[in-house]
Amino acid sequence: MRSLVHGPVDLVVADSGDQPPDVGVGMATWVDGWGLAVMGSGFEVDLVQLTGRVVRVGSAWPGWSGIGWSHDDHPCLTDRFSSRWRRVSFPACGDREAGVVLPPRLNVAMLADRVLWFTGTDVRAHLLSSPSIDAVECTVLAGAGSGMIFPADLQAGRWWVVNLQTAELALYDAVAKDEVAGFRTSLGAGPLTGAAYSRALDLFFATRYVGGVHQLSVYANEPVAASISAPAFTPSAPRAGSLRTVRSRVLGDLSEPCGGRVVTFSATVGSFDRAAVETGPDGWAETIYRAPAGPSTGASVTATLVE
Amino acid sequence: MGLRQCFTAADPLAYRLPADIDPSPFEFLYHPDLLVAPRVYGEEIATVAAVWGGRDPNRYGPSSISVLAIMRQVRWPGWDITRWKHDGQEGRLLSRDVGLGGATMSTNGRFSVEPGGAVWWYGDPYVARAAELDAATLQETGSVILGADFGTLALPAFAVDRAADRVFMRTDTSGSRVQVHRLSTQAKLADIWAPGEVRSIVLTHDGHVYLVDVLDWICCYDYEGRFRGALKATRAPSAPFGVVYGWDHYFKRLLRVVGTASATDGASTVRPEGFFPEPEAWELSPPLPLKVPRKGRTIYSFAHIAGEGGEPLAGRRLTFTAGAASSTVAADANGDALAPLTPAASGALLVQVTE
Repeated sequence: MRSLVHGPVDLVVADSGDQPPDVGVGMATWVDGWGLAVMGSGFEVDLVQLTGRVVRVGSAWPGWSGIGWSHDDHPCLTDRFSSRWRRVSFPACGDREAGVVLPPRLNVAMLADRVLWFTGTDVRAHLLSSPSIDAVECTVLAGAGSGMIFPADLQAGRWWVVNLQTAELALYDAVAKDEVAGFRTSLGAGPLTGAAYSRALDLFFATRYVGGVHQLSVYANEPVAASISAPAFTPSAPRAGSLRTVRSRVLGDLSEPCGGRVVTFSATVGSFDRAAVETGPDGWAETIYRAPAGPSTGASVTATLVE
Repeated sequence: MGLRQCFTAADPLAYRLPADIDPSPFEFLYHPDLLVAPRVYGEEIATVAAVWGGRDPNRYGPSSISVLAIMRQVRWPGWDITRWKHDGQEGRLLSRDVGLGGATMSTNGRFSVEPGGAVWWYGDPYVARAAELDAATLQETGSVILGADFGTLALPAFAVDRAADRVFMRTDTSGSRVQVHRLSTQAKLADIWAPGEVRSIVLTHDGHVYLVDVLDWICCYDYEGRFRGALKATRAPSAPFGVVYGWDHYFKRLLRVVGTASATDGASTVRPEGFFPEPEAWELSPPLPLKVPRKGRTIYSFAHIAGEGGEPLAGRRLTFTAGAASSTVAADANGDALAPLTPAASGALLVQVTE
């Protein structure tokens, strides 16, 4: 699970005359400089500020019914009458091009050759050459529910996909058409109504509908540590007077490696080259154990995570 | 107000008492509700129609602000078109002219003002047609622009700048799109957009056009249709008589008239206002650490500063304070500022950010 750094904060409309904020399921994206753009079931577009204040930008007419992002780095909207996806600029949401007609979708990734959408388990693709047909490109996550896809690294062709029911997140490589190993994580507990990612800030944004109120939470791209493995010696158990590498691994609840955490090693006998060690990007912390000169039995070594 | 307000007229758009209005040829009163006690005034704004300002030396200063409004009144014929003129510095009422325009104008009171000062009426209910008016009498001069020449049969919003060879027109009945054309050739140059339905097209002194929408977003474009930025004003308060925007060509400011409800005695509460088109800082986000702070680890803390609509404010200097340490950083083009933070000790650390 990613680390919560802000929120949850309730969403409140800026202008009292507006309808309460209404985050449509699966209709959110992050726009640098403007914040979290969300779409409501009333077909309006709102900008959510980090304080929870919501500013209306798109009116209910002509009405938008989907939100997404293009591979060349533009937010995209579709209008509910033509089902035509277009790149737009915020806040005016003005059309820039004729766009692409697709069957109704709430959230897409517009690539050069195809448009991706995510069901909660499957990455599916509409080829631009035959947009009415869509097919499973890859099965990434498990579990029921709807999903979202949003940009992680456009140059590398990588997109985050999230199952909104479980809040599980995975990284998808749209070039290799496969999940990128080692990045599976979650944005707290589900269900979510929407999720987005700021590439500039390396932060995740998630919306939930809790107790009749829409809420915003912000997560750092850093897992919460959930476990630390027992210290293990390499290449073999220590002998009297020997030096051995000893290491422990810090992982999150979905086995995400936790880098940058301080692990302290202690032992009933013997000593360490460094007792406090920072984990590497793979979550491992290692140090050198100096066994006592004389034989000893019943000694124990302990690794403790200092958060 | 999310925009920097620089002017509120000292005097309202004053109303007349019944005795000050020309006697009626008929005995009965039009709009008798205007005189239901404790109301005493014989007229009231029905719709604010236009506001503009420019060089016009007077006893208070070098410029004036004019407001046009459609009136309803107790005397015959029951309606009127009135122009108030205030001085541009204090907003003292200089004059008012009544009995302008004609009956068709009074029921379709859509006006726009050219940067050169000419007043246009584009409310013809039968034809998409804009006609130049004599500024003193509001009678047509004979200069006409037809929507049909630009491929439209509807003209819900319109502005023209003949000196710059440009026409701006909204052709959808409730749309957020405005078309930019050359006046001479009718060639379409661009579509420009506001978030919501456009209610005013305001042309500035320096070749920019502001689209003001029903959400009080103000989107700025140049005459080629290039987007130059967006601001948001506070949503206009209850305005039973409408809202209209214009430009003050002398003081280079955005003018607004909000048709607020009359006082209990029927007196006018409507005053022209002026704003410099720059947002005031409206919201400073809480400081957000990009990673979880830990003792001895340097992380970056992020804050965002924005105007009322969330429009990013570049260049504002934000000061981050964490314990005894502080650093000041200028916000970037996205209104974002990042400051390094290295907690020296374990435990809670209060991080604050101020402008």
